[in-house]
Parts: sequence; C-alpha cells; structure tokens
Amino acid sequence: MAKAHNHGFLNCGSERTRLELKMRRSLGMIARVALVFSRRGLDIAQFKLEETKSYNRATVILDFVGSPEQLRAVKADLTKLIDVESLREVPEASLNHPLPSLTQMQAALTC
Amino acid sequence: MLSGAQILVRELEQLGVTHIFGYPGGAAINIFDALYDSSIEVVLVRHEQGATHMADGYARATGKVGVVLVTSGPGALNTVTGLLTAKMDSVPILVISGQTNSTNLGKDAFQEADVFGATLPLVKHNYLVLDVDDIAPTVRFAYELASKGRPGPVLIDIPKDISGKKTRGDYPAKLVPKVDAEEPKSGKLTVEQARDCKNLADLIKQSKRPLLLVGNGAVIAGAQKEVLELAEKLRSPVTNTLLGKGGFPESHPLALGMLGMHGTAYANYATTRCDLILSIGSRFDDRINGCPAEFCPNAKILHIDIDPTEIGRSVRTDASVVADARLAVLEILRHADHLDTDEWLRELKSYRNQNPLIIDHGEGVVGGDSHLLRAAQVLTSIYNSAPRNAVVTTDVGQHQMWAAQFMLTDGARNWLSSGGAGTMGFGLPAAIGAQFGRPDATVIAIVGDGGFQMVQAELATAAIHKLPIKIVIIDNQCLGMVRQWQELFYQNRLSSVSLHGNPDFVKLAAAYDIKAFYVDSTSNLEEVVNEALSYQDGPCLIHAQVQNEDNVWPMIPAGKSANEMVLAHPKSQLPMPTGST
Ligand SMILES: Cc1ncc(C[n+]2csc(CCOP(=O)(O)OP(=O)(O)O)c2C)c(N)n1
Repeated sequence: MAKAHNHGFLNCGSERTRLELKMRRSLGMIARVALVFSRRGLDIAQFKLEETKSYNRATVILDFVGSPEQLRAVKADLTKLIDVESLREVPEASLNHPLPSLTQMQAALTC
Repeated sequence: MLSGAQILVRELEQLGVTHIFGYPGGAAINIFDALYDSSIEVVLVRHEQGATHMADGYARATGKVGVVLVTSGPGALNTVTGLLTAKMDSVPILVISGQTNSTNLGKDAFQEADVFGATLPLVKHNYLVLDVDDIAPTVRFAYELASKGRPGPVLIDIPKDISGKKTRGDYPAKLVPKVDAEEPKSGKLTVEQARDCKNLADLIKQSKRPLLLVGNGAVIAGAQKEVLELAEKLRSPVTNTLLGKGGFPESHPLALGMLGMHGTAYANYATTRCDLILSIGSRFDDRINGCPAEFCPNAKILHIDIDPTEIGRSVRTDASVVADARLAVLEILRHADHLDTDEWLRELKSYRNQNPLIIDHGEGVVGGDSHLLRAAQVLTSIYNSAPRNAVVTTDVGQHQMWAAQFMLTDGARNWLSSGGAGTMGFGLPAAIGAQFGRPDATVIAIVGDGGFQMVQAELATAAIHKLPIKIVIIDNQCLGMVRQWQELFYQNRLSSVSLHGNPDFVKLAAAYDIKAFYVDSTSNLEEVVNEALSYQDGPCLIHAQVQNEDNVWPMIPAGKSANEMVLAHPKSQLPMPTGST
C-alpha cells in the first residue's frame, strides 16, 4: 500500500464499506470511478476489476472507509456515471474474505 | 467513401446543428476542411473559452445543444472553464476536440494533451474515438446525452488520423448501446412518480404558509406555465434561485424574487417563516442554503428533481419526487386545492414594505461619494426601457447580483448567468451565443470591468457578425465583489482588487468599430440607454462609470442562515464568515 495521508475522515463515524459495481466496459471507466473518491479526499483501500461472461461488461469491487454521509455521496455519484449499470453495497456477512478491521485499514491508510 | 471528418459533419447536419463555435489547428484541420462544404455556420472566435461560453449561451437561450470545435492540446484545454460552467448549470454543450494521431498517443507528441483524462471530472461524459466507424454513433449518442435527463456538457476527442481515415463501409457500422437509465424529458410519469406527486399534494394541502422555490430545473423543463398555475391556485408566494429567474414571472404579485446570499430580504425572511417549501428543480446549493441545519427551520421540505442524487444531498427532505419538473407540477396541480394564505401573504407584504431592496449609498465608507452614478441606477434604467422579453446575460460579481435583484425576469431562458461555477468572463460570449440562437431578441450583456477584460477579444466576434448585442460595462474600477468581502470581513485591507489603469472602454470599442457610449451621471443615463437599445447596426457598448465603493445588500455571510442576514451597511466589522465563498 502506498503511503497515504490520514485526512481525519477516519475519526468520526467512519465505516468500512465494500461496493460492487456492474459496469459497461469503456475507456476511462476505472478513472471515472476513482475520481469519485479522490475529489472528496477519500482513499480506496482495495480495488478489483473482474471480467464477466459478457465481453463488454465488467464488475468492480472496491473497499473504502468513509462517513455515512460520504458513503451516500459516493454512491450517488457512482450511480450517475454513464458506465455504471448497477451498484450495491456488499454486506459483510456474505463475504468469503471478511473486510479488514477498521483498525487494520486505518493502519494501512496512514502508515 | 467518406472520411471520419465528413461523417462527423454530416451527422451534425442531420442532428440539426446550424452553428459551431470554433477555433482551428492542426489536429482539427480535417474537420474544419469538411466544414468548408457544409451548411453549418462556423463562428470563428478569438479564444476557445469564448467558444464554450458562446455555445453555452446559445444553449441556455434556445434549449438546443451548443456545439464547439477546437484543436488539440492548448486549444482543447482552453475549453475546461467552459465545461465546468456548463456542467455546474446543467447546460447541454458538445465539445469536439482534435487530437494528435492515435499512433502518437502517449508520446508527448506536438500539441498532445490528455484531454480525455483532463476533462473527466468536468463533463457529463466524454469519449476518445479510436475507430472511424465509431464517429457517427458516438456523435449521435453524445448529442442526445448532452440534453437528455439532466443536461450537461459532453466532449468527444478525435485523433487526426481517425478524422482523416476513410470509412471501411457504409456508416454507421456500429451502434453504441442506448442509455436508458435516465428520465425521458417528455411523456408520462410512472405510477410511482404519480403516487409521489399525490403525496406532495397531500402535504401541500395541510400547509398554511407555503413557499414555492423555483430553480433551474423548472426553466430547463419548460415548466413556467405549470408553475404559474400552481402558484395561483395555491395562492402561494414564490421565490427563485439565481438560475431559476424566469421559471416564474418575477413581476407577478406572488413573486418574492431571488433568495439566498444576496437575495431579497423578504424572500429570505419567507424561508425562515414558511411551514412548507416546495423546490421545483432547485438543488438547495450553498448559495441559498449556507447553513443546512437551519434552513427553513419551521418547514416541511419537499423536493422535485430529475436527478435522484440531488434528493437529500444538501438538506433533509420530507418528501420528494424524482421526475421532470413540468410533469411533476402538472400532476400536483390535478390534486391541488386553494389554500387560505391571506394572513401569510399579508405578513410577507408588510415585511417587504419595511425591507425593500436598497441601493447602497456608501454610508460608512470612507471616500464614498453619493453624487456618483450607481450600478443599480444603470440597471434599473435599462430594465425600464428594454423590452420585457429581452435576454440578459451577466458576468460574475456585484453587477451580477444587482442585475439579478433589479432586472426582474419574466420569461424562461431570458436570464443567462454563470451560477454554479461563478465564471467571470461569461457575459460577453454568452450574449454572442444567445444572439446567434435568437436573432430577433434584444440581448444585453451586463458585465464587470474585471470580467469583461478576461474575454474582451470577443468584441471582434460580435463586430464581425454585426450582432446587435448591447454590452454594458459596470465600471467600478475594482473587483467589486472581492472588495466588498475585504471591506466587510478583512478590515478593509484591499488586496489586489484595484483595477485602476483600466483602458478607455469607449476607445477600445472604437478600435473594433463598435459604437460606444460613456455615462457617469443620471443626467443623460436614460438618453444613452434608449439610444443604445435602439441601435441595430451591430454591437454597441455602454461604459458606465459608477461609484466604486457600493456594496450589495442584503447579504447572508457565507456559512450563515437566513436569520443572520445583514440588511444594510453594518456599523461595525462583521465576523469572518465560516463558509468558503
Ligand atoms: C474566472 C474567475 N476568477 C476569479 C473569480 C473570483 N471573483 C468573483 S467576483 C470577482 C470580482 C469581479 O469583478 P468585476 O468583474 O469588476 O465585477 P464587480 O464585482 O466589480 O461587479 C472575482 C475576482 C471568479 N468568479 N472567476
């Protein structure tokens, strides 16, 4: 993990969240998703792009830490991207590999 | 076989494009060459930023998509301020940029810039076309996308080898998938939307002190007739945002005018007293809602917006409908009843009588001289003499706020101002674009001496095309709005706001063969205004020398609620605002 700054957002009411986006494959799709976070000073803790059976579709799975208000705003902006067809929050219980703890993520983002 | 550039131009013609605002260069030369044979009129601007604001003004004034064509690198990057301006105010423009050959991408080739990457956060969507067969479907799709749902700017970057390449076969060879996620502009509401409207209507029935808030969404949707009907049926007062001007006639007895940081005292007062506010296409941004926790403290907040992400984004919302503003208001009208608002209207009227809009007389300002001409007098005089359906464009600053306050707007698409981005330099090019789109309209650009100088080269564009726009420079010899902040919040430490050394604007106009007038007193103001308004042989300019130290009142300091509105010049220094701008 690259050195990242602690912007202070991890302190109050921050929660870790995993989002799953079904996307239409297009030029710049990853940059568009990343910009939704970087414009708010949010780091993405994990990011995965998966192929699907359809050649022009892809799934993005990403984890980030933010306040409920930031989560709401990020979800709103992601759904507005033309390439995003659907978005869901992945509940922790359904994960094969559980999300790292908040402390672990804080450590990862600040060291 | 057609080249990519020819296909592009043919597509634009078929989409009904009549004007392109552009500036050529090597990477776009194929496209300019194809335009040589086209019916589309290319307006050669003097700076690419001007082109984007012209396309923007054209789009705001007509509702059609404004089109821009520029070359790669510096040409394309000169459009970014225009993209931001259009994005913030939901204006449909299409920017087409030439790019270096696709084989050179990433090599720091001559005039290469990552325009696709650089504009990602400033557009509704953008494309880099890498196959000539993608040009036709991309253009069609981009054009539709710009004006669909919540409008916005779309950019297409086309490498020179792609615009120069001949098609392999008949076009369109490929089709881009349709976007179906957005609301149709016209048509019918869904069952859920209709149910949500009924819910709003039920809440409105319980209100004793309703307030309608008209935003840009109402203007874009063409909802003015329906909004008027709703206001009159409910007998509800109406306020509007800066961009909502024209969504409801501001000269109507139920109109309170603009609300917000420099809104009328009575509109802001109404927000503190209403028991229900219905936003019709306003996004409750920080200009009208500096302090969300205290916004409309006694009211249920209802929200109509075509963009679902705006609901609850800035304020708590008690009920909402995600739909086209016109269709939603129509549906609410079906369920709406008269409300007994006599007492509420009386209360607002009495407050209004006690707190009318004022022209600041500079009291308390060292060096203030009340014998000088005041900006608000100039604007009032123009407002009184101009046709009611004149199109007014503005720059950004004090003159913009005074124009919003004193020049009432009665019709939609007659008020063109950069709201969200607050882009100085918008007024003159926007007026040029508006006049191209509405050749019969009287178009008046109200600009500051600061903002005008950012784009004054476009005087040439206006002069060459003999556009009868009226350019009114409100010259207070300073960056007035910043000066106002420094005076009020920074102990009058005036830092980098003086514009002493301004050119002689009348001589400047003469250099372009533009008719110009100078006015610095009320004695000949009306005469000058009337002469300028009736001048039709091309652009004309009024250089109005006004009092330098006037301030815009009322003012809600940034970050504060309407309760803390400052009505007139305070006796003492105001505390530093918590909000940013
Ligand atoms: C491109 C740009 N740069 C800076 C600003 C910040 N700004 C806002 S208002 C203002 C002063 C504008 O001065 P002027 O055009 O003379 O108009 P006035 O306020 O005096 O009416 C400035 C510098 C801006 N809005 N846009």
